[in-house]
Amino acid sequence: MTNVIEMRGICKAFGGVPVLKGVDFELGAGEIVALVGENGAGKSTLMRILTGIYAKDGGEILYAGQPVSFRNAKEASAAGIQIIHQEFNLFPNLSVTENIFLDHPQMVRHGIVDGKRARSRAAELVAAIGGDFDVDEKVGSLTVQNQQIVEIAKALACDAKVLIMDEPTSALPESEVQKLFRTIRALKAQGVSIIYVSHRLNEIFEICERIAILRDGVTIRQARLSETNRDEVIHMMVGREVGRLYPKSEERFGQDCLTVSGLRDSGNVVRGVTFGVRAGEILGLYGLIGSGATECPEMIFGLAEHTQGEVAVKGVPLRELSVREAIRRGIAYVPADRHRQGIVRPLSVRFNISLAVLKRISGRLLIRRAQEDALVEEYIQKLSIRCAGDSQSLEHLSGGNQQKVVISKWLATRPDVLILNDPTRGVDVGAKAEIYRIISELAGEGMAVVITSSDIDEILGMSDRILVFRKGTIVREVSHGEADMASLLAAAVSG
Amino acid sequence: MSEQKSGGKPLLRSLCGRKETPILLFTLAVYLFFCLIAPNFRGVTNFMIIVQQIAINGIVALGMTIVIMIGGMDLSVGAILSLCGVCGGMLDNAGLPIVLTVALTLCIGVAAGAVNGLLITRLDIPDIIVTLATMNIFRGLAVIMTGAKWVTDFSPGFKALGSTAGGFLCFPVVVYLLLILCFAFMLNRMNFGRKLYALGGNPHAASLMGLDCKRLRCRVYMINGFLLAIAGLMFASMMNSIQAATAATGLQFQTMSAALIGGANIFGGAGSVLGTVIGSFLMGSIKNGLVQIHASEYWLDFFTGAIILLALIVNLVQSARGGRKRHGKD
Repeated sequence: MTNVIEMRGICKAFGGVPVLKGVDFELGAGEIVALVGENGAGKSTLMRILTGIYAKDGGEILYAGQPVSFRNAKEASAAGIQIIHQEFNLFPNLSVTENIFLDHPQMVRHGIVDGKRARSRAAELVAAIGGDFDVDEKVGSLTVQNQQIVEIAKALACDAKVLIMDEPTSALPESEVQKLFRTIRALKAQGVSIIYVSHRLNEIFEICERIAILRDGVTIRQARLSETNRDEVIHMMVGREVGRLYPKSEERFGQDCLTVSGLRDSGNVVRGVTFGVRAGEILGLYGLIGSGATECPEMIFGLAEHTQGEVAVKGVPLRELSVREAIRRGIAYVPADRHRQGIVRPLSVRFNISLAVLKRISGRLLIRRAQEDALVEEYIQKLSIRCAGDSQSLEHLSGGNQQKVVISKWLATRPDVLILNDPTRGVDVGAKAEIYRIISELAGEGMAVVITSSDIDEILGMSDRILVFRKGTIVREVSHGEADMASLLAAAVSG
Repeated sequence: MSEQKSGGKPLLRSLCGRKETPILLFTLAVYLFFCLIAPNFRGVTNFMIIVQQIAINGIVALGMTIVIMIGGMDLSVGAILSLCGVCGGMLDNAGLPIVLTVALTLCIGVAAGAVNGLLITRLDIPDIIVTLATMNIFRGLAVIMTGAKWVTDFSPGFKALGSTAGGFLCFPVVVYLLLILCFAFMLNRMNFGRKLYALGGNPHAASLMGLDCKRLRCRVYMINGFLLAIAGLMFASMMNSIQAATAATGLQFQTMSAALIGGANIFGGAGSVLGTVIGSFLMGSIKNGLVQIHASEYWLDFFTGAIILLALIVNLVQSARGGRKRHGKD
């Protein structure tokens, strides 16, 4: 079989940090190839290089045998390489037709759009891949699966020869996955080659013919799926033993501190989750994107809506699941998106730390300066925040130190329960270790800690107990000693 | 299935489906209200006067519509209008032929728009800040050039630009109508217009699909400058004089109101020519009507604001209802 795409020795670094270190990748004509790897293995970067969004630092790309180097997405698209990002790139305010044929050379003559022809062609395209909706409808009013069909139709309208699908099923309900597969098979029958980026192994073994496995920026293996199996793939994705990098304080747990029962939401992201965390325990929640592992803590803290379920702290149920009530009852939540939800960037370290407890340290009219000083000083010491004094703005701190400020802010509320969502995302290794130490110490002092993370190492290393989520339910519970990466991943992928 | 739907769409249903319909009905209601209580408001003559009165602001509102539609903002429209009006008047006073005066003034307007556009796109400064600064700069320039004196004594050719003789066929109204048609065509049928909707609706996706967003954005401000030059010339001509410091102050808010009443989304992605025209007409009717009923001058701003607020609430109700319908469908 001839290869449509051959990528050889692709290298790419961001700010001196190598992300891709000589990646090879091949895609045959009319083939469906899975590209897998852990978070951060370099899948997205590789695909962004292929589609001209990033420039490569080294290596070569052959497209239909010819060396190419696309300077932007438009060039790649014109050559027939289309990508459908995990987050759709549609215009909600425009109709289906307008989305599919926006700025499309065939539909524009002398700057005027041939609306009628675009409309009938769009209807054809949508129908051909199994879409059943009006092409005059505004895209913003379509369901997620129909929006995905619009994305695919858009790619086809540009004569896609290669279609890259990044986590195409992550946004789809289970019932729609088979429909998508039918569409993918129809595309293959039309001669389109497909790169299927995912870490859902079940789906990969069902729809793909070959697999390419990336790990830490290198290609571990490219193989036919018939020549390998799930366990081998997981092993190659993971590839290393988890060292005991994580400090574990002696496990001595108290009473149930946080109990969650029957938590459920209307979108079935979380369906009936029940668990408890004891004082002094670190509980890890693990699952793939959309499994409910990150959504569940958000519901507990009142950030996401729920329809059923109860949360209790030290046996006393919360009146409602809202941020106010959660804070009042001693729950603290360190969000994943530090920049949007965690810190007030232009403000100083002092302001950020005391933000959540202003009421406590204020008199009738004024903030009690001495109390604030003491508070801020305490946490700068305790978490060893490196800053040029408490009046320094957070803009000039490193990611790790910013994160420590966020944690300080919540610790200042003296919580009984600390929920951490991806606590070390975008934090360098040194600061990571420190954050781990802090978390362990907090648990040692009797706090109940819940961690969710996209980093499986972190979950394995930190947790006394791990709950594995899949499709909104807890599918496995393992304790610190018996957990290993392969079994965790296997449970998350296939239950 | 979709073929049938578009085929025999009855007029009434297509009218119900349009998002401008509620605001159109609201505008008609306001118009009828004034007709009822003010005898002078009724009749074709006053209707014509309203149209003449809104022509200049209406033209500026068209530009404001595309600026808002791409998620932008232009606070400097009044200043650019004043600058163009002053320049046009002075060129005319200098004895230039009218064609040359108009051509040069249009260039000045486009250049002023380009200054805004380039500062916003090349230096990446938020539009509200850029135009806040240029608002003062352009106004200041106009004042310096005129030495803070009135510009007047125009040639007959220049006077014709804003003349209201000829009723509906006077120059400003004809130009306004032509521009409405051009803009409607541009936004509905042309690729350029489509790209503006895209840019405003999802800038990230627009740049990912390879649209040259910076150039598009810059062009929008240049088109806006072009319209402001036209409006500036008419303004000076219609008033028969122009004073740099006071001409068209507050214009940015009047035209922004017209566009927002017409359904433009302040965050970008939505807006229509028809809506903005209705918005401009509503604003004009209120102004005219309040004068006709001899409302106390002190109350003018208050009533205007109240009616604008009502109009925006009408829009809000409309979009909320759209949202509910969507949910029912899914």
